[in-house]
Parts: sequence; C-alpha cells; structure tokens
Amino acid sequence: MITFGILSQLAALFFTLLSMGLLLAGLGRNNVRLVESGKRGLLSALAATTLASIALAYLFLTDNFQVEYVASYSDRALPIFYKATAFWAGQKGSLLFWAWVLSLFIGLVIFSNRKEPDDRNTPYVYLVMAGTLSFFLFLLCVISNPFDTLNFMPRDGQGLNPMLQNPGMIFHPPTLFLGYIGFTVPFAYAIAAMITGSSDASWIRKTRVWNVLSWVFLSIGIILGGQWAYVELGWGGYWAWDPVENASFIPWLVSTAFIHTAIIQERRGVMKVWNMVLVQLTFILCIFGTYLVRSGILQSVHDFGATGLGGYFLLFLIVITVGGVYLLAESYSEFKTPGSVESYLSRESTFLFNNVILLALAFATLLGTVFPILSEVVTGNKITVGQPFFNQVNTPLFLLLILLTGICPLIGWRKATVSNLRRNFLFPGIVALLSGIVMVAFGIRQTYALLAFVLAAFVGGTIIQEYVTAILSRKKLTGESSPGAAVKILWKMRRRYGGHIVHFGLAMMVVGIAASSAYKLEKQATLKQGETMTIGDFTLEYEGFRQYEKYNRTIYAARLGVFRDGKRIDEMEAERRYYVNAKQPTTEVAIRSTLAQDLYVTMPGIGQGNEITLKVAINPLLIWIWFGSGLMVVGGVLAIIPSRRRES
Amino acid sequence: MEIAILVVISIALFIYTLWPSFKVAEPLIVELDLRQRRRRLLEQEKKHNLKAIKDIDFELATGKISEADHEELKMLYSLKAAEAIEAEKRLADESSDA
Repeated sequence: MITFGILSQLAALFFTLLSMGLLLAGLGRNNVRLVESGKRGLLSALAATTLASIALAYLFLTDNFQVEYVASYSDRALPIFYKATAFWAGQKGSLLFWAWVLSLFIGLVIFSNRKEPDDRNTPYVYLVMAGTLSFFLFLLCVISNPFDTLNFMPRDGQGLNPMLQNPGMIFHPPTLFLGYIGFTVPFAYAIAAMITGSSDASWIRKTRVWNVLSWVFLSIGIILGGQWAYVELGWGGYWAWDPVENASFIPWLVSTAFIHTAIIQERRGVMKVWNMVLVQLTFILCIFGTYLVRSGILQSVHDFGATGLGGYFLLFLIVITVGGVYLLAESYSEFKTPGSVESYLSRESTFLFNNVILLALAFATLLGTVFPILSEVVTGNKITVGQPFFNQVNTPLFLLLILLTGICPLIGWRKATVSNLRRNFLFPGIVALLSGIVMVAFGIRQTYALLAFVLAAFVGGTIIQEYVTAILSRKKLTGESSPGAAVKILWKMRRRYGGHIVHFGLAMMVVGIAASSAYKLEKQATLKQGETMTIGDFTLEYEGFRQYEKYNRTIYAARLGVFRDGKRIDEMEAERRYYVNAKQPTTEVAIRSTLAQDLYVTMPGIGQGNEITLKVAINPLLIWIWFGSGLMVVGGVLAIIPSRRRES
Repeated sequence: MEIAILVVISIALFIYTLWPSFKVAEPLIVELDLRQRRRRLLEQEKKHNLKAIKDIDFELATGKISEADHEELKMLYSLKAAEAIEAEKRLADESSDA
C-alpha cells in the first residue's frame, strides 16, 4: 500500500500537469476538445488523489508503523476514530488533505458548470486551480511525502498528541482547510476575468456560493478551534491571539469584507477593482496562513527551512502576489468604474466603512502576528506581541464594526435622508438606550463591556425591526397569518435574512465575549475529601475520587458536588489523564453550562492521599458565544441555498 | 497486485482524459467583435438601471428613502435605462442595415 500511495500521488501530479498542458493547448489552438480533455485530466487527478488518501488512511487503520508519518502520529492503543483523524494531525497528511480537497472542489466546479458551454474564461479558471493543485502535489511528491518510510519497523508508534484526542479536533482542521481551499475557486474566476477582461459581475455571481460556503467553513473551523481550546487546554479561555489562530482569522476578516463589497458589485456594477483586490488578498492570506503554520517560521526565523516547505511556500506566495498585481494593473482600465457612491448616507458607504474597519483589523492582527518574525530579522531578538496589544487595538475596532452592523440595514441603497434615518433609528436606538440603563442599574461599569452590550442590543433591535416590518408588510399584502408570513419571508428572501441571522449571531457572540472577558471570576484551592470551596454563588464539595482505565489512557477523576444557596444542584467530575506514550498528564475540564454562566473546573494537581488542587472559574454568558456562532453558520448556509426561480 | 491495479486504473484514466482530444476539433472562443461588445455593455447598463429602479421602489416601501429622493433617483435611472435601450435599438438597426 505504501508504493500504491506514492504512485497515486505521482499519477495525480502527472494528470494535473497533463491537464494544464491540454488547457493551454486548447487556448492556443482554439479547440474546445482539448479543453474538455484538460477538464477530464483534472477529474483523473481527483481519482488519483482519492486513491492516495485512501492508501494513507488504510496505513493508519492497519498500524503500518514502517511509514514514518503513521509512526509519528498514531499507536496501537489509539481509538479507531482518532486513527482516521490522525491523517491530518501533521504537516505531510495535511498537505495530502489539501490536495485531495482541492481536487474535489475542482471536480465540483466542473460538475456545476457541466451544462454551460466552455467560453474563453473557463480554461483560465481551471488553469489557475490546476496550478495551485500542482504546487501542493509537487510538495507531496518531492518535499514532504507522507508515504516516506523508516528503515526499520517500530513495534509501536509515538501516538497522537493527547490534546488532539478531542472530538473538536476531528472536525476543526478539515473545516478550516475546506474554508482555505474553497477560496481558490473565486480567486481562479477573478484571475480568469482579469486575463480575459470580463469586467461584468458574472464571476461574482458564479462564485457567490463558493465565497459564502468557504466563509462558513472558515467560521466553523475557527469556532471549533476556540471550543477545543476552551474544553481541552484548561486555561479557561477560547481565544488567545495565538499566531495559529490569527492565521485563520486574518483571511476570515478579509473574506468578510469581500462578501459585503461583492454585493455592491452585483447590485450596482461598481467597486470592481476593489473586489479583485479583496479576493486576491483573501486567497494570498489563506496560503500565507498555511505557510505561517507549516513553514516553522513561527518558532524562529532560523527554523524557516526546517520543514523544507518554507522556501516553496514563499515562492508560491510571491508568484501569486506579483502575478495578481500585474494582471490587475494590466486590466485596470477595464475594471475601473467612475462615480461609485452617490451619497455618504447610503448602504454602499456603510459597506465601505465596514471594509475599512475589517481591513484595519486584519492589518493589526497580521502585524501583531508577524512582529516577532520581523523583530528577529531586524534585531536578532524575538519580541513577542501578547494579548494586550491585540485587545487594545482590536477591541475599539470591533465595537465600531458592531455599530456599523446595526446601522447598515437601517440605511437604504443609493441615498437616504436624515428624516428617514431618524425614523428608522428610533426603535433600535431606544432598545440600545434601555439596555444601557438596565446594565448600569445592574452595576455594569466597564466601558468596553457596557458599550458591547449596548451595541449588541442596537444590532438586535435593528434586525427585529427589519423582520417585524417585513412581516407586517407581507401580512397586509397577502392576508397571511403572522407565523406564515414570518416563515415565507425567511425562505423567500433567504439571502437577505440569512445575512441578518449572521449579524444577530454576531451580536450574541459579542455579548458572550464581553461578559466572559470582563466579569470572569477565578479561584484556586487545594482540597481534601469532604472539604469545600466557594466561588460566586457556588460551593463545590470534593465528594470522591476514582481511578480507571479507558481506551489508551488511565483516568484519575475527582467527583465534586455543586451547591447553590445550600442546595445540591449538580455533580461534576474533573479529570487528569495519563495517555499511553504521552510524556505528561493532561487535565480534562469539567464544565457546567447554563445560559447565565459556565462553571469551569480543572484539576491541575493530585497530591498525597488524593488531595486535589482545583482551579475554578465562572465565565458569565459564555454559552452565548457558541449559540451566536452557530446562528452565524445557520445564516450563512441559509443565504446560499439556491433559488429555483432564479435558476430558471 | 496493488501496483497492477494502479497501473490499470492509470491507463484507464489516461484514455478517459485524452479521448475528447481525438475528436474533430471545434472552436472554443468566438471572438466578440466591437459591435457585440458594445451590445453586451449596453445590456448590462440597462439591467443595472432597471434593477436600481426596483431597489429604490423597495427602499421607499420600507421607509428607507424619502418620496422626493425616490422621485429624483427614479427619474435618473429611468433616463439612463432609456438611453441604454435607445442605444441598443440604434445598434440593432445599424446591424440590420449592414
């Protein structure tokens, strides 16, 4: 199976290069048959990458530790589902996963275009995607082959990092990759449009689903990463502005900006150059994110070449950046649109402001992420930029963004007047003001937290007003019942209301983030059996201790009774786990989640006579972050469900 | 055995890939002449302006713009759309004359 895997990768590279040759020949000779062959070549590459992926999965499932990658990320005791997911636990498997998903996406693009005749754009679209695929296949075949073997057969593997043995980690990397890779499609269409000078919005329309879908996957990936950090790492938070987190967050910000301005181009036929810039930037940042994480440069600039990938990724980045800038400069006159925005009081201008803020956030985050690298290059010393920098710079920008999220739906396209604004702002303004008064009355004094709550209420008020107005109008027109009108509006105008749901989810997240950051309580105590500790309204009693074996680990668990106002309301179990092949024990967090707060317990130590050290936190409204992010995903999916009417 | 299977699959894929290129060649690109390009641009211009009229009607219905602004914008977009339609007609007449 090892040779099978290696040859499959080589076959995939061969078919991709063949396909590029055929597509170029099709363009050069003006022959649609050659283009058709080129597309088939890409489907053959999909078949070959699928075979290579099956081969690697098989090697993991059959514990073939002669393969260095399998020996590094698996062992005999590893539960079967983690064996399957160990596929993407390391660099080499991740690259194969990239190549496979990209070839799958190319196949889906070919499938979705099957009814349309090939025009002058399509060969370029497939060429760009094939070029990207060939880059990853080249890395797999030449630099970082997951089928490389050891010259001996180890009795067992080194096992998977215990922190990665978490359900969140099964889905987090693939969803993130799906997001990154998905942006190859709009990028390819944009490049093709620039080459052929097709300045209309057809590339935006064709790639809208891909844009939003990739954004949804990227969002899910980021959320799952945060959730994994929260339940697995045991420090009580979900986001630490870690470079790996930032690497996915930066393209998310830019792609969010692109999704908004793409709407303007679709509706108004303006901002064509800006959209070209944004889509290229999104793709470049996706590759840059992968480069940051996979090149080793984050550890130290001196590790840049350690993985063997750094130089190749850098070269690829230079090629796509220089190529993109050159094409944009060449086609600038075709895409330039004079007199874009009619009034500063219009939805277009709020979209522009939102773009400015999103890009400022992306730039600040990028700067903070690469600053240690830059400082090491310039001074020889690595100066790390910590959480305070990101919080200080990004929090006000985020608050401005939330304000715009609320304002935007209240302003019409093209032109609005002050009197319209006054009328439309009345209800959300009152909601925001009242919520501010209530917050102050409840003792909320932290400026940023208070602002966040008020702005979230403003966004919520805006969306509720929009929805209720639409329901009332529909009822008046059709005579439908309120629930009937509510459902029909949601379905018939799902693109618009999908967006509103995303914004509502964002407002919920803001509330959760503000509350859990500003009003978190923490306490640490060492307890003997029968002793108690108190935090906030809760009292925890150490009731019992047990030790047992499960799968590939030995578990030490402390049972804790949870009391409130002297009444036993729940029971929690905090654990320490010793995994086979792991050098250090890990803590398993116990969480009691309600809408109001999370009671978060970790057990950093076990002493003599099963005396335990507990670290307990109360995170107010934290679950709102997960609910809000779930709503964002639901809204995104709703917005891309195709309309039959439109298709016909 | 595995290698043999892979070789067979690869040969099959190779034939599948090249099959269309052995068929009689057909042109891919029908180059648009200047007139066709102009027609396409006018079509886009017309669509954008008609869509813009729909948009401002909706904005008026939902109270986002005033009646005066609605009137002014509607006039502007109607004129632009009419110009595009007129130019399209002229272009069609020129083509039929030619």
